[in-house]
This record gives sequence, structure tokens and C-alpha cells, in this order.
Amino acid sequence: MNKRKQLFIITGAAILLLIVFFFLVVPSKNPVINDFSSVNRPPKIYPDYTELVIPPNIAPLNFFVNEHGSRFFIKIYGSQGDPLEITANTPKVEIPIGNWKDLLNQNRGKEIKYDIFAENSDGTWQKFKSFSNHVASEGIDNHLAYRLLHPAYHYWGEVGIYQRNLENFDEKPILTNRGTDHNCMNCHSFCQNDPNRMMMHLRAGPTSGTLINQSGNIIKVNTATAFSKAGSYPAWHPNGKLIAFSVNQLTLFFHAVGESRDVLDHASDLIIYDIAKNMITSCPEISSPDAMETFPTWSPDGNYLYFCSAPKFDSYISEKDNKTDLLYDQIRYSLMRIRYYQENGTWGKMDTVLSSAKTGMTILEPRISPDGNYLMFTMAKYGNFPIYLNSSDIYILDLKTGKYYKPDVNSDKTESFHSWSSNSRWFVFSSKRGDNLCARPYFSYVDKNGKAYKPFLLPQKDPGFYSGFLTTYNVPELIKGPVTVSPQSFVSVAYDKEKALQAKLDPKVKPNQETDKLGSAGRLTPQ
Amino acid sequence: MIGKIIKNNLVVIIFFAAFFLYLWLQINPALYYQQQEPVFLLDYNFFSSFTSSPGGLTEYLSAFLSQFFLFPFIGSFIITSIVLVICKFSKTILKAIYKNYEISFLHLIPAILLLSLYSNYWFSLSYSLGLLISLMFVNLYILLKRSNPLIKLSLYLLLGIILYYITAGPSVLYLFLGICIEILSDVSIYKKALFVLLNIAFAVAVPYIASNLSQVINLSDAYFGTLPFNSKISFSLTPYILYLYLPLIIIMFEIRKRYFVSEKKEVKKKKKLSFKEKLQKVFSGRTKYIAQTSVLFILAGLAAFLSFNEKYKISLLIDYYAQNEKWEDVVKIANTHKFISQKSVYQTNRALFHLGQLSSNMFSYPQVYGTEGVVPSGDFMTANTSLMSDVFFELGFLNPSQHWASDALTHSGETKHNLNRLFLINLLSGNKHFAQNCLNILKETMFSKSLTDDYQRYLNDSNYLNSNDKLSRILSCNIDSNFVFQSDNMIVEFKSLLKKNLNNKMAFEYLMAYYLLNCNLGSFVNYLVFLRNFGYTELPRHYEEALLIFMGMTGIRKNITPGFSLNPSISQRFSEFRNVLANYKGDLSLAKNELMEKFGDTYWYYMVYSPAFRKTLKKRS
Repeated sequence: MNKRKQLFIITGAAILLLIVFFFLVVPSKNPVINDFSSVNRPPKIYPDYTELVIPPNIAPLNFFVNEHGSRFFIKIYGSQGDPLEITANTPKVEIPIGNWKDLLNQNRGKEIKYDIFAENSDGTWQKFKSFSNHVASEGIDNHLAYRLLHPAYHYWGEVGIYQRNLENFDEKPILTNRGTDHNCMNCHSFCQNDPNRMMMHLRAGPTSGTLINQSGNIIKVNTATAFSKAGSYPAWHPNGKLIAFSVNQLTLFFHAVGESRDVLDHASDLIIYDIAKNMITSCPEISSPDAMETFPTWSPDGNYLYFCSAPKFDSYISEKDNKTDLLYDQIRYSLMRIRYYQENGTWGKMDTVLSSAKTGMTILEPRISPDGNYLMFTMAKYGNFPIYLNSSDIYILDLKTGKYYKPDVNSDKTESFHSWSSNSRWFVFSSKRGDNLCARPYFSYVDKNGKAYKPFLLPQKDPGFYSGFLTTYNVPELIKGPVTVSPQSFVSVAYDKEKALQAKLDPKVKPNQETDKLGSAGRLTPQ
Repeated sequence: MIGKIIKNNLVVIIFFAAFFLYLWLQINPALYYQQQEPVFLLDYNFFSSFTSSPGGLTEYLSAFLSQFFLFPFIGSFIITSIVLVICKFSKTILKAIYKNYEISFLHLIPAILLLSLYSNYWFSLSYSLGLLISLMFVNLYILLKRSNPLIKLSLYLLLGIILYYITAGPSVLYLFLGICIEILSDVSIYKKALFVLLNIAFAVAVPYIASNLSQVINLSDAYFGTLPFNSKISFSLTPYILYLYLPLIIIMFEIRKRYFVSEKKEVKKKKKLSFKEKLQKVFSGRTKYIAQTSVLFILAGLAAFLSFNEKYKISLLIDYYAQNEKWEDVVKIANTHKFISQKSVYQTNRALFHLGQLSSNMFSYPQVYGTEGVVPSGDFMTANTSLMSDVFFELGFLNPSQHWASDALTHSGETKHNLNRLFLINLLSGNKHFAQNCLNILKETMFSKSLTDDYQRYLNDSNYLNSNDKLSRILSCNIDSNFVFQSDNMIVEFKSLLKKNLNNKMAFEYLMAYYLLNCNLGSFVNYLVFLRNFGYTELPRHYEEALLIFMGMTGIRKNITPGFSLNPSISQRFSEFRNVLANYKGDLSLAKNELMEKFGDTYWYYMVYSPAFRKTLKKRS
């Protein structure tokens, strides 16, 4: 091949590449729509991102326009900054992240508006009524940690604890069970939204134990002692030195109609783990043999331990008229608290904060806002496992007035686990409102008066993401940054038998004669 | 030209034709699909989930090609082609190293090993694809042999990294063979040592780095991912032999070259041969050729014979037919194969119900598992989640069906069967959002277009749903008042289903089967009054057999099944049964052979030898 011929081929290829580049990369010009008919209603979009209060640092709220149209034109604008214009040939609207961030930053504390146009088949356009979002001044903690798994019955299969950057769409594993012999992992928990102080349980197999990470120093501990079996639901003391755990004996059972799964707690207690001393302690008040205590949480000042408590039954099975019944629907938990003296580690008086007798419902999963003003909890008709209860809803207790109310964030489906942002202005909660089976994280703004605003679904790059995702988001926890410890570091500690710690029992605490009754905490025992 | 190619490769062609026929007619790739249920979606997100870890692309390609296993002919063709290319690559590698050596059929040995491995229904296509791609890269490296050493080394390492990303574990073969090729080359010992060290460092470092970068794979998967010896299923030593085979052949050739005959001498010898010697050589060559061919086919036959598990195939085949609702085929297998597993009894009973024969023929098959062969419990349930979901779905009990289908989803992933089942359950239970989500994924699967179009219509149009008899029946049977479901007390559950819908024939027949299998004839007789609800025109044979026993035991003589007359021939047969027993003076063990021969298909035979009946007799005595 002569040189001239080679040059000719190379030039031809370069021109071809340029043409391809032009068509693929250079965006098409937005249409100029002067003539349109007006539709006197806002457009239907999925997810519903209309009339929200949104964080100024949230990732683009991509959505589908559920309206007829051969082409769509979307204009998002505020009083400040350049408007954001998108032309979409399909109903899928993906908002460019850079422009979105600029727009939100420039409109903190103000409204942004959405104008949506749809092109009819005859080339004419129609414009739907505009809707808006209010950009809050206060940002949300920029990461969300959660567990992903298929809706669990007997098995857990592929399980992983992941972290999602809320400012974009990056999702990374904190730890998946591909690295830990496909065991179960749960109850990831952070101290005051701090990604550097976290813990999680690994269940079953050679890696079993509780992993605690304190700024990269990871330990694995077995919290089972002569007093109780291993801890389950955790709560970090604000000082980062103690973790309160519940110890539960859970039994999975099934309903013939509605949500099939349900859980019965036969026996539960609370224990306190002192990380530095590697010691488990408790006191008679918080581990009463006559009551079942669960879901501990500390007040932000560390002076009170809140928890849920229900009277313990002698038997959970009733036999009447030759019929055997499980008394699952008669168990209701009240909200309690006990004074904790941090200076000497002693306990004070216990009192009832909100009684199930007063609410007529079971009170579960208390979490106090970091500013100490509000206590969020879930209430359901009965029981201790709100994620399986359709009746479960989010409630807020004003700690100053003692009044509780149901914020306008609930649906007729399950609302369950929730977590506050470190600035107390945002919270995330699990809701099954989408398909009644898989929980999804929803965010809501809470103003200084405790009013919660319309919640919105965790945005995804592909707005159709959830319509083909049969995996559930479990225990969403807001954190102030990413967990920087690699999954491999957790794995190596999880497998390191020599470094695994066995928690000691506080000599002041008597071993429990009924330890065996407190079955494998946190693990659902199939029946 | 083609004729010449065929003539020169006749043995290879026959060998692979036999390989193909063995896979197609004996193994049946549809059963690989049944066993492995490979998930593949025509969706970018699905593809991208395979790109985040080494070996993912091989797994992806394997998942794609495995979809064609649904069509046994195409599936067999795919596997045979892959194995053929593996053998071809093995040959070119050996030829590249030993130009003057006779390779004969040595390159076909991997095919024999793979034949043995493919006789195991757990053997994934990804294992042979990993091997094939690694050998392809070795061949690519061989093509670089003449280039500048530094460029060659750089390209070798680059190819190694690419190969590792594509295949993960199997890339170790590339390094192995790379070492062999370089050691046998003319370069200095210093360079050889350096190359070996470099390879070892590569083999250790790359997976380690990859596991840290990827974050979603553990160290073991980083080193051994997509290698058959990393599987949870043991394939014994065969995969090791498969991977060590080429290096071992190279070592063998080297030993031969160095210690027995040198290549030069061989060439010299060729030159010195006389005409007579040439004739002798042709003769000995032909003999050798025949002997080699015979050994090849004997080895292949032995591999197939020793590794094929007929019982396992039958068990899979029963599941395959049941899943595709080919009930006649299930019963046909039950008739022709004598061995009994709990699963085969369970599926046979299911098939008998669907063929309308459960109440008249179930005791023609050995009901050795009692009620556990009807609706199993315990370990069987947890090991066969999908099957449990199937039976509850057919019974019209959607909640437990959802429960087991969800466990199947967790256990085996988003397989077509799991998605299909979850779609139907949620469609019927009114959870249309979840049903739509399942359908959205189903739409991304291959060969599902007409099914998903139909399903979308069910979702959109309730009249269309009502036109489907099977789905309407299930819908009419589903429980609507809550109670705690007790899988260990199915009688209560069958009664609840009948309370909801007295036309639930499956619940009725399964309840009656439970009573018969438990020898609880009192309860059985109480439910006979409902026979009219289910359109029986005559009393089913086993019901009549049980009724005769009941009448005999209680002394009741009047017909307690109004509207149904007793069949005289069955009464006559019962008298004969009693006579045989009387001949042996009631000694059941002595009478067993004769009763088995004459009445093995009756409820009477089942009952007198069932543990439940013996227990009752003991109590009475």
C-alpha cells in the first residue's frame, strides 16, 4: 500500500469519526415553543417529585413524564441562575447533574419551577401547569447507608450493606456477603451520623460477630455472655464509647392473608457494651424479667436511654375451644426511658414516656432528633416488627410538650425504619408504598416547628430503576460522609479468629439463668 | 477440497458428531437450564452489573448462550462448537511448540474431559468459555512470537490483564502456558528466570489488586472465579486434569524430546528409510492410527458411561415436565422408572391430580412418603422452595405460594420461573405494582415476548384475566380471612381452603389423600358428602376401596355415599383381597408378596402395610 493511499484511508476514517462524534456528543438544539395549548393540571410524573421541599445538595430528581407525547421539553428554573432546559425524545427525563447543582445552590431557600411541554403527534405542543419545589437552606447528610436484600422469608441469599452518595448516583458496598461466606449481616449503625464510627452484625458462619469500626480501627466482638446471648438492635451512646443492644428471641410466623410474614418476640432484654473495657453490663430496671425491652436509643445529651417495653407473657399460645391461637396481636410496646449518669455509669429512675395503653398501639423504633426536640417512632396495631406490618406508620413526639402526632408523610402501606440527618432538618424512612413488598427510602424535610413535608423517593440516574428492582432497602441511615474503610478491611477482621474479642460480663451483673431462652438475637428463627 | 478436508478429519468429525448427539439425545441441554436456571436480561443495567468484577464478561456471555439451552438442538450445537474450538486451540498451541511432532488425537483429550464434566447438570457453560478464551489468548500470544522482545513482553502482560478481566481464574492457564512457551524458547536462562518470576508476580498481584479495586468480590473469587474447582459442586479431579492437561503434555513431550528421541534424529531417520521400511511404517502407522482412534472412542465412551447419572437426569426431567405442565410425561416417567424419590412421588401426585387420576390411581404408585409425598414439609420445603410455591399456587393459597416463591427468588435469583410465579401471585392477590415490576423484568428476558404480551393484558384488562379458567379458578379459591398459617398442619389448611370455596377440587382431593395416607377413614368418610361438588360421576376407585374397608371395620352396610353406587367388581376384588389375607391367617409379612402382586395398586395394600395402620392395630391390641 503506498503512502498516498494510507493517508487517504486515515483521513477518511478521521472524518467518519468526527461525524459520529458530532451526532453522538453534540446535543440537539432545544425547540423554540411559541405556540402551545395549555393543560390546566400539572403533568403526571414518576416518581412524584412535585411540590416538595428538597435539599440543596440532592442529586438530580430524574423522572418519567407519564403523559402522551412524541417529544418532551422540560424547563427547570428559579429566580437565580440559568434555567435548565432538556429536550427528551422519550418520557425519560435525565437532568444534567452540573447544571442541576448550580441551579439548586443559587436558589437555596427559594422555589424552583418546572415547565413541562409535550409534543403531540401532529407537531403541536401542549404545556402542563407548572409545579415547583422549594429548595431548603439546610442540606441533608450527603450519604445514605442501607442493606440491600430480596424480600426475606426463610433465606437471605445475596446481602450487602451499601452506601449511596446522595449528591450524585454513586453507590458503593460497605460490605457484601460475597466476602463473608454468604452469611447474613444486619443492624448497621452509626454514632451521631458519623461514618467513622459504625458497627454491624455478621450472623452465621465463621465470620459471626459484631464488627465495630472506630476511625479505621476495626474490632470484632462476640457480645454473648453468661448474662445473655449476642446483642441485636444497637444504639450508640453519643460519647461513642458505649453501645446499647437489645437481645431478642424472634420467631417468624406467617399469615394466610395480607402481608404473609410476621415476627413474635418471646423474650428480650437490653445490654450495654463498653467498647474500651470490652464489657457487657446491664441493670435490673432495663432488663426486667417481667418485661420485654427492645429498640434502645439514647438522648442526644447521653443522659437518658429510651427503649420500648412490653409485658412478658407466660405463654404466647392460647388453646380455646380446641383451637390453638398465637397471641401475636395482643403484644404492645410502650415507650420508656431511664436516667443514665455518665460520670459514674449508674442508672436512675425509669419512667413511661408514652404508654401503649394511651395510644392503643404498639410503639417501636424510637429515634431522637440530634437537636433533642423531637422523638420519631413507628406505631402499629401490635407487635415488634414494623417492616412486616401494613398498619405501621411514622409518628413524632414533641419532647418539650409531650404531645405526639402523625406527620403527613405516611401512606396506607408500611412505613418503618427512620433516621435523622445530623442537622435535624431531614429524615429518611422506609416505605413500602410503591409495591407493598419492597421497602424504599423516602426523605422528608422537618421544619423547626416539627412539621414534616411531602416525602420523596431516593432519586436514581434511571428514573425507571425501581420498576425492575425486586430488592428491598433495609435500615436506611443518614451519614455525614462516606465510610472510608474498605470492604476488604472488614472482611479481614471478620475472618481473623485471633483478634476476635469475647466480651466480658460486668462482675456486678449476675449471669442469667434463662440465657438459653434468649435465642440467637436478631436472627429470625423459622417455624 | 471439502472432500479432502472431510477425509483428513474424518475421525474428528465423527467424534464431534457423536459428542453432539450424546449431548442432544442423552444429556438434553434443556435440563441444564432446568438445573441452573441461568438469568439473562436484555438490559444495559444487567450487562453493567457484570462489568464490575473480573470474570463478569465470561459469566455474562455464558448466561446469554445458556438461554439457548431451552432448545436442546441449539444448546448441544453451542456446547459442541465451544469444545471443538477448545480442541482446535489446544492443537495450534501444541503445533506451535512442537512443529515436527505428531499430535495425533492428543488435542481431543480436553473434549473427553469436558464430555465427562458436561454429564453433570451443574457444570456451567462459563467454565468451558473461560477455558476457551484463555486458550484463544495463548494463541494470540503465539502470534506475537516474532516481534521485539520488549514489545512482546508488554503485549503479553497487557493481554494477561485483559484476559484476567474477561475470565478471572482461567487466565492462570495463559500464564502457565506462557511460562512453558518461554522456557522452551531459545532465550537466555536469565531471561527465562525473569519471565517466570514476572508471571508468578502477575498471578499473585493482579487478582489481589482486582479484589481491592472491585470491592464486590472476595479474594477467593478474585483468584479462582469462573474456575470449575471453585464451584460449590464438586466435579472431582476432572477440572484439575483439564487445566493441567496442556502443561502436562508439554512436559511429556519435553521428556520424550530430551531423553528418548531428538527431533533431528527423527528427521534423519526419515531420510534413511528404505522402501521396505517405508511400507512397514505405513502399515504400522495405520495400525497405530486405528489403535489411537479406538482408544479415543473407548475413553470417550467410558467418560460418558462413568459420569452420567441416570437417576439425576430422571429427577430433573420430572421437574422439567412438571414445570411445563406436561403431566402425561410426568406419569409416563413414573411408570417406566422404578426408583423413588420424595420429589418424584410429589410430582407424580401433582400430575395425577391434574390428569384427574389422583383419587383413582395414586396408590398405583408407591406412596412410601405418606403425606410428605403430597405436600412435603421440613427439609424438603427449604430445599425445593420453587416446588412448594407451585403446589400452593395450584391449591389457590396465594400467601404461602408467595412466601416460597420469594424464598426461591432469594435462593436462585430472578429466574424466569420465579418471576413468572411472582407475577401471577401478585396479579391474583391484587398487588399489581409488584406484578408489573416482575413483568418489567420478564420483558427483558429472551424468548418471552408472547407470554409477557399476554401477561400485560391480564394486568390491564380484568375481563381478559377472567377468561383464563385456571387463573380464575385460583382466584376464586384464595383465602380472604386471616389466620396463622401452619405448614405442619396441612389438614387445617385444606379445610380452610374448602371453607372459602367448596369447589376447590385440589384442596378436596389433597385433603382426602391426606386422610387416606394417614389411614384416618372416619374423617375421610365424613367428607364424602362433598363429592357431588366436584362433578364426579362415579365413586373414585380409591375412595371406594377405602369405603369398603371402613364399612368392613364399622359394620355399616348401607350405602353412605348417596347418589353413588358401589362398583361390584371392586367389591369382588376386595373379597379376594380378604381371602388372600385369610389364606395366610392374617400374617401380613407372609401375605405380602401375593398381595403385592395382585393388589399392589390398591388402597387396601397401602393401608395394611402403612405404619399408621400398624400403629392403630397395636393400640387396639
